[in-house]
Amino acid sequence: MMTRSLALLSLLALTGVIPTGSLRAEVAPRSLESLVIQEGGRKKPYLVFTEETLRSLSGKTALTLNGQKKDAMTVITGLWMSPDDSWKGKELILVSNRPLRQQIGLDPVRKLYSWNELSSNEALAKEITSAAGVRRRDPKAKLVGIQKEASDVGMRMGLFEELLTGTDFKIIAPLSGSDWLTSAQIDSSEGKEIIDSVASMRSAWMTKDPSSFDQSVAALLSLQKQIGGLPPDWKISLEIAYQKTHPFRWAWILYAAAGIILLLSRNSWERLGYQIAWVLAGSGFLLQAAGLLARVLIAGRPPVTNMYESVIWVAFGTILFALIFEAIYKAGSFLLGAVPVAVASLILADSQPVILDHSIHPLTPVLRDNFWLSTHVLSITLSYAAFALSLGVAHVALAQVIAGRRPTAILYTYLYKTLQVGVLLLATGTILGGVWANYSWGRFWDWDPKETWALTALLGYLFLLHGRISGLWGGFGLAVGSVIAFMSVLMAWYGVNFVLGAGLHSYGFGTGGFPLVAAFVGCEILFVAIAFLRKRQSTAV
Amino acid sequence: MSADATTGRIGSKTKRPLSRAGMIAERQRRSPVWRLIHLLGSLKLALVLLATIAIAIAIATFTEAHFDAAVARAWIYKAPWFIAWLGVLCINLFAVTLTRWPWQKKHTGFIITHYGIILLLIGAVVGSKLGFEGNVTLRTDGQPQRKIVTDRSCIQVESPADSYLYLMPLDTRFMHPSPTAPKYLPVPGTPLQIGIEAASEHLTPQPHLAPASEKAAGTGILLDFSSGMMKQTLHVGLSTGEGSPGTYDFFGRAAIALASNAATLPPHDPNDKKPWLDLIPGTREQSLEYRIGRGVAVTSSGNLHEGDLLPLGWADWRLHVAQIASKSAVVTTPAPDDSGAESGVPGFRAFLMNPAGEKSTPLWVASGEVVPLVLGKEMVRIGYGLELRPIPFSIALTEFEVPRDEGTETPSDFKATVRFKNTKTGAEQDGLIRMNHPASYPGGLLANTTGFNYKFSQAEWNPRDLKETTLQVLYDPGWLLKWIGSLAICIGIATMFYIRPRES
Repeated sequence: MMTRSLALLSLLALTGVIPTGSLRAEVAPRSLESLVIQEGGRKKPYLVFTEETLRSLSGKTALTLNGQKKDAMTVITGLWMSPDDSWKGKELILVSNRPLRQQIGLDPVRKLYSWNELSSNEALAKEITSAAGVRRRDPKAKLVGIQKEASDVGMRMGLFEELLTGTDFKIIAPLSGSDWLTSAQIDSSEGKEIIDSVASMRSAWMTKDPSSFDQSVAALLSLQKQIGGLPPDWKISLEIAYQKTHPFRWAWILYAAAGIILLLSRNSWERLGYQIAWVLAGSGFLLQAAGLLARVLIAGRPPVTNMYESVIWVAFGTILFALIFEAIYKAGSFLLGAVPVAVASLILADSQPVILDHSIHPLTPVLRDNFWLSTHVLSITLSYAAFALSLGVAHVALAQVIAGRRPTAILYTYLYKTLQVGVLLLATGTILGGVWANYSWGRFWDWDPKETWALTALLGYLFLLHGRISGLWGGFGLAVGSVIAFMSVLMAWYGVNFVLGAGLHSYGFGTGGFPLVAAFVGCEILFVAIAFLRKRQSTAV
Repeated sequence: MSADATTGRIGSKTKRPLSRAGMIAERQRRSPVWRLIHLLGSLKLALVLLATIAIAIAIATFTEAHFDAAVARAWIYKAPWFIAWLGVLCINLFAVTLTRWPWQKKHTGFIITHYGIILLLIGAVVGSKLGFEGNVTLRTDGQPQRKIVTDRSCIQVESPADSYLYLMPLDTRFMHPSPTAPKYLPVPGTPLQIGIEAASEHLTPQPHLAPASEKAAGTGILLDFSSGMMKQTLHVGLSTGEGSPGTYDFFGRAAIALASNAATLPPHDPNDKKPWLDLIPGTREQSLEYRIGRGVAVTSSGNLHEGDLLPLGWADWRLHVAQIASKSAVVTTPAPDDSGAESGVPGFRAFLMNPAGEKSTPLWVASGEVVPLVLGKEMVRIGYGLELRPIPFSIALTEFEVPRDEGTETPSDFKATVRFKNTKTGAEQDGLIRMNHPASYPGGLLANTTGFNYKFSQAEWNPRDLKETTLQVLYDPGWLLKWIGSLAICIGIATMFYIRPRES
């Protein structure tokens, strides 16, 4: 209970600070935010439902309609309260893939389209039909390329139709069973009050009467309470607070500030700069911890079950290890190495909602085991974090080489220590994965691509450490190796799920982000090449 | 792999007492055995092993993504060279621990880790040699099962010498036989050989026309329906003879019928708006009269001959008349599927050959079927499929439940209640299999820890039939070794990195 209150308090403290978007001319549906709705296999606050739904539909949580910026609550509530045909002409549905847009003859630049535009597009219908054909022949078939994108657009169109017909607004717990009902599905003899309150909400919405809208919502909320079957109040409040505060956004801002202070104070005010950086990074870390804790409490499981969560978690782990090492060695380089990794990861997670899904979904059955999730998955992802930290520290060293300075021997020793943490965690995590697989899939090891890439990464890092000890390469080689070996982590982490898309870890599969990752890999190779050239120049001199 | 490599102390080589280093150098000078040990345990070999294994398995994952898991398995993971390479790794790991002899306290973590890896690999070998993996599909309304389907394909040959069934491992996926270079297998106990001259992963039953006896004979036709849009071709065989199909249901969307005269054609329902194609033998040899319609209305009609093409007006489907033959019946035999659907089962085309070099007619053998190959007076029955392994008990599914996430059809778990029955004693025992919670037989602490145990885990389900579930079966006597090895690796690495004994 204590932890719950702490998480809630720290998030609520931020709620007041953030502008929540102002609404004009229409009824503001704020009072609806704590209405409980059943969707996607769980019960959630209406606020969360609207943001997740609009993100699925449009890829954003706010839209400009008729020249006015409208948030998710306003758009989705509009669809619910006045589901007229005018919505079919509004540009709401995301067609994110440019090759698909070109193929079906849409504007190559515009990303949002109206239902009317899409439903009359015969080329799109053909693509969707062909994707459906593939699925019909083999329900497990993996859709790729245009077919996948077309199928996604088809699903968004389906979602739009569901919203317009009201079938997604399941707000009433049933008398028996677990499937909630919409107000249209309720028997008028038993649920007259509910039907009435939704009807009066509708009329207040149409007549733009905020006070009677709020009154009807209040009536509906109290009816929901009377009927029961709701999650506890604290959970709903926590989820609303979590949704509004964006704790991970604030965390990266604090981390970035810590990094900048650390860099600026390298030559003067070093001690003070270091202390301020500690405070900033520490606060960011606490905030991120609160955000993760909130997710744990809302979902009831460790926060490492999809790509979005693992990116956040790896950023968290990188800072965690950096702070532990800083507490021991007070070096500055750990934090300096960790900050860019954490900031980049958190910005990525925040800015790519279509690729990295923020929503909290129920898990696929095989993952529903908190013991194995928190041992196997946490140790694997923490090893990624340790290797990300070694990547960061290696960058600090290589940047010094590029700047024409000679990194100190101790910096390379620090790098070695981060690699050790990663190797221990990756070895442990991979073996734990084998033990889990023995129970869930009925075999210890079967060269599943995810298993294989975890092993490849481990072997790569072992190669790096053994070569360093044998004297085949020195500190500089270790730094170069840390950057290159991290590419195998990227492959195990991102590549298997998003590029290879094969094997049993299919619950984590996704698409997108390839150009971004490829650009990152390209930049890293370039960076290492420049460091090599500079190193050669300086030894030649 | 040097001890220092794993203690993490960089450059500690120079700190080593000279007497020890001197002793180690000395024994290498004196003894060829020690020289060999140091060679086998060399760090250079370790680096080569680490790098090659990492690269090989990385390549294998791409092979798997682009071809098939089985290809990656055959070329790399289960290939003899890879297994041999892992053997070399074991030798390297063992030899390196000997090079540090006599061991000191600081070597503890190093020794534990390296032996842990060896134990794990030995456990894997024991598991794959003495144990097996397979699966079993059970139905709540089905019979108890006493056999497990393994993932090993084999050919089954019934020898005419002793009528005994011989099993030989054979996988069509890795064979590339051709009529000019067939693969030969002996028929045990006879001088005969089976020649395999073609293999396919997509054998489907395909219609042919064959001469038939009086009663079964009629006018037989072979029709090909093709659609560019659906990228599909469909072969249909119809005959007016008894025992052959006279009608064909076209994806439930249209009806095709052949009859000897218009009167015996199936009647059309005016309310059924489904299109149809009616065919009757023409007045001239090898011709057909056709009518295409919808309800009772005829939209087009005319005559067809062998080789004719006819657009049907059903999307872009076209009809090609492949063959018209009188006095024939429709028979179905497996053949490679050219429909583009990539459906069907694997199999091969085989013939029988005697020492004189005479060959029988080659026939397709599809997985799951038994085919007799006849050459003169000799007949050999051969079959192809996954190897079945008997188990010393039976397993039956008594209940299967799929709970769902609230408000959705997404499964939240799978619960299979099974009943094990010892075939000797008749003793029964129930087990519950849930995701992540397998059931074991005979179970119990000893069996579970040693792996001399059959473990049943939830593997697949059929969303269209909730009376059926498929369980993964594992019998792994290498389990205890794998466990101890795994534990040793983790403890060893942690000891090496974080526990430092005082140097004596």
